[in-house]
Amino acid sequence: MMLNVFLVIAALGALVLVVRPGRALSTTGRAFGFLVLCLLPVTAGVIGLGAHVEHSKQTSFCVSCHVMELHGRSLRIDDTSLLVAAHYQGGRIPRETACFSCHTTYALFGDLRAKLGGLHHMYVNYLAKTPPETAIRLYAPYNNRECLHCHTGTRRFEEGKVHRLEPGRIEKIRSNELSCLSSGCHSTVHEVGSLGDSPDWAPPRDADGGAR
Amino acid sequence: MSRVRLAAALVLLGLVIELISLRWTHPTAFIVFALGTGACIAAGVVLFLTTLFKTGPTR
Repeated sequence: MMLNVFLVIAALGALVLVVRPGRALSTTGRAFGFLVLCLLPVTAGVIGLGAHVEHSKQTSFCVSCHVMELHGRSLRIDDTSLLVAAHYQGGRIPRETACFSCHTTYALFGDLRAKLGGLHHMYVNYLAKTPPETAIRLYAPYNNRECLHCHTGTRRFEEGKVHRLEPGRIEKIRSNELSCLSSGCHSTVHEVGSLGDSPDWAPPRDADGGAR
Repeated sequence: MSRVRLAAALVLLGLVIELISLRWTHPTAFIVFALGTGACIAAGVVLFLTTLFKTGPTR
């Protein structure tokens, strides 16, 4: 809202100089011209870039491209054996930023790296040959660090019997030596190739129409 | 004077494109913002500054 107000003010300033360009060349008008045609638009551009970066974290943004439709469906599908469905429907991750929550890198400049990856996705989507959705893979094996960003210290993880099946196992998980996803424990993630016609999950509704 | 008008029109166009792109959550909106707003504002600012330098100091 504030950004919109700022943009409208900047646009009105520019409009004044479209109608009366001579104002920007008088002695006092130069300061006004510099404000309206340099400072305000550059500031607006920087703030707008920040707003777009924030938009790009939204789930609706990630799944808005056709090639990501099935990945979006895997979040909503009525099958909690899928890791992503269990996280999304169970509220373990913010639903508005579900993709970003798991696919950013929780390390220095991780968000920046995720955004650069996003630019590459856009390049592929618009200018290169888009792969079939079932063929989409991660650039690198999924790092346990991303899971442990939230799960470290939680009772379910720390006391999980399988996590402590033998001495040293939980340390191997922490050090990414034993993968959460590819070790066979939490390996059903998006499974976009086998979603079929399964329906989406919807919260049960009470007789008065409200969600339970 | 017409250069200032053109610079102001470019900046105005860039801001309008930004305003529209921000109402749309889609990767295309980012492309439109980056190419449209970025190009228009950069061109407007450069045009205005070169006009200022060319006209020289005023009294």
